Amino acid sequence: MSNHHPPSVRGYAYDGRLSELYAIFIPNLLLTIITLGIYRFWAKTRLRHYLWSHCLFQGERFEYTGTGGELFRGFLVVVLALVVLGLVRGALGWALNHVMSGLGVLATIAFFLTLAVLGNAARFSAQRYRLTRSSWRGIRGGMEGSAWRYGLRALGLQVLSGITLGQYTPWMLARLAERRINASSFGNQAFTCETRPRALYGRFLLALVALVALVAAAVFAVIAAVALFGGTGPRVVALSQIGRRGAGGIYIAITLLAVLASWLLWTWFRAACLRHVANATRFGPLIFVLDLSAAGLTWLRLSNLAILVFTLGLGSPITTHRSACFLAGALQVGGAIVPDQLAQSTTPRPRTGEGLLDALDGGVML
Amino acid sequence: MTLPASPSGDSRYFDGQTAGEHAVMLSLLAETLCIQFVDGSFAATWPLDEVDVSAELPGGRCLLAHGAERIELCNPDLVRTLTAAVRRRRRPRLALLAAGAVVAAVVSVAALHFLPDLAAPLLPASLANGLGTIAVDSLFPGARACTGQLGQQALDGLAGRLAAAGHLPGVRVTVLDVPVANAMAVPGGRVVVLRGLIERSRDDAMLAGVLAHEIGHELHHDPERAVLRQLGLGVFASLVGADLGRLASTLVAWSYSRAAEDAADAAALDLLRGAGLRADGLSRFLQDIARHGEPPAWLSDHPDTASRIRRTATGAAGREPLRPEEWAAVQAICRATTGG
Repeated sequence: MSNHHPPSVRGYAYDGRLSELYAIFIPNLLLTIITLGIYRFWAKTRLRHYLWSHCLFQGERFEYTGTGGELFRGFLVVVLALVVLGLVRGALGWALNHVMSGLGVLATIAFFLTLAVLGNAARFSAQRYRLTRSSWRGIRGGMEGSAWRYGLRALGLQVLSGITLGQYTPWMLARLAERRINASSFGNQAFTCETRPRALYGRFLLALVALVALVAAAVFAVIAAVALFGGTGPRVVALSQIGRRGAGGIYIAITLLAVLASWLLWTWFRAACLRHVANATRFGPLIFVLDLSAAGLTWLRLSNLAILVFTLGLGSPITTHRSACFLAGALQVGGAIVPDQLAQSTTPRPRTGEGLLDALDGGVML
Repeated sequence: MTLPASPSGDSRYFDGQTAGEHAVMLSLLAETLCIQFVDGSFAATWPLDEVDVSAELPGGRCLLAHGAERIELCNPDLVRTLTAAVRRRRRPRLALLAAGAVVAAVVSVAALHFLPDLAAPLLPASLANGLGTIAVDSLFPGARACTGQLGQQALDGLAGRLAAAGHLPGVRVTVLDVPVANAMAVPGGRVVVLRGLIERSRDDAMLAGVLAHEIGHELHHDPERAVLRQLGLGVFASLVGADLGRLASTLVAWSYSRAAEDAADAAALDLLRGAGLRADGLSRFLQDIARHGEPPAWLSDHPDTASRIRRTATGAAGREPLRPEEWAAVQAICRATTGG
């Protein structure tokens, strides 16, 4: 029916321009400074409006329908909730300490557990907020289920990961992604996702072993160096003179090496994770293939970090643009939606400010 | 109003029920946008004040929204006319928003500045106590409280006499086993003395001088004010979303203004004299600290020591704050076990 969009346009694309992103970023930055940060909710909304409307599926643009006011109200609710939580923690701790000295630590533990559940739940409700505010051909997305329950479940799986010294991590990540995706829908069509975390475990274990081996090798190299060069009398004296400072430097170097190595290995694992979850996801007749390599993802993250650091944050439109281009390049969609068969969503559309969790989007996530 | 002539089917209509699209013709009747299918039947009518320009799209096109319904305008003339008509009705809201943001900014800055001063004296005792406990726990996590009974009694007695001189209901003194020469007033009429301060004091008059200074802060509700200010700055910091703000909040947190310090010094002398005690200890303590260089944390918060020494200098008239055996017990307060 439409002659604007040739039927050959398939899948997902992004056609934003860096210059236009800067035309949004600079006024946003100035207004945010002038209003002492209060404008940032509206700034975020303006940016999302632009990004959404430059993401296309089957040649048709997405649309962002959220408002800055929703984010701002959500933020106020979160601030209020955190203040109340803090006061409850203080009062409870004080009361418990009166019952028995040292018992007040229970209040602190409860406080941080609540924060952990809240943080996890925020991720769920932020996705819900964004889905319900995303529209394509007049049809919006949605998400079913309780964010609280997701938060509790996430905390449980994270604890399980901790108890198993990380061995459960691939299952935790896959189960949580599954949970979020299976709760999601667009129009009357639900997303489905069925992962096989066991397929990820091999790579996870390999990354872990590589990390341990690398750190062990570094420690061994240091010990060997000390043993080799510090063997004879005068040299022992010389070494002990540089002693403390030198030892501190070596310790810092090994720590930095471990951090960098674990970050690189984690990204390597994450790339596989993302590919796996995307491949396991269906949307009606659509299948998804995420064609991203660990090297590509690592380079994107490292270079984006460098851009942000060296431009003192002024390069953030560049990193946004690069990430959007990267995703569009990597995400391939097979199959096609027949628009007439995709009906409107009937999921609840949360008004930010109604519930605490819908609100958390304002404070926690981009 | 007639709209710019456009070939029929130039605009696409999405009814919000399905993702399917319909070619439509548009016309403007008074303040209502009429949407007709190509065959002439009506698809919908939109009152203009319920319409939003949802997105401006490349190629001079634009998306109008009415609830879940959408129209994509593809004709540039149509886009210009309709967006102008819609925006005419929406502009006041934008202005209101901007004004609201400015007012909110001004109010929050004002609140940050003035509210702590107003609220500090009104803080309920129970809440102040709770805040004090939190402050001590977070400033000195895991620090052991010294429990020498005789020393505690001596300090309580001294603090009680000083508080009575200032008509304060009472001041609790807690000694923590921390080697730093520092003391601080915390909310809820509580003074925390660190072991290092007792060790730094060459006699009981010096300790009494510092204690009186901290009770002077209590008298003026300075700790409550500081905590409220920190709370406000914390909220502000999370609002700005910058670590800079968080940094500032910790820097400002426990430092009082020069005026508050001078006022606490003056109050200290009044309290000591009011209780009939010798009042030269504070000045001598400040001198000691200044002479020994390496200003401890207690001093780094306190500006212009030389002028404070001058202002607090006074004669040694008055009783000794503690009896010799009491002073000895205070000095041993962290060595003694409970009941010792």
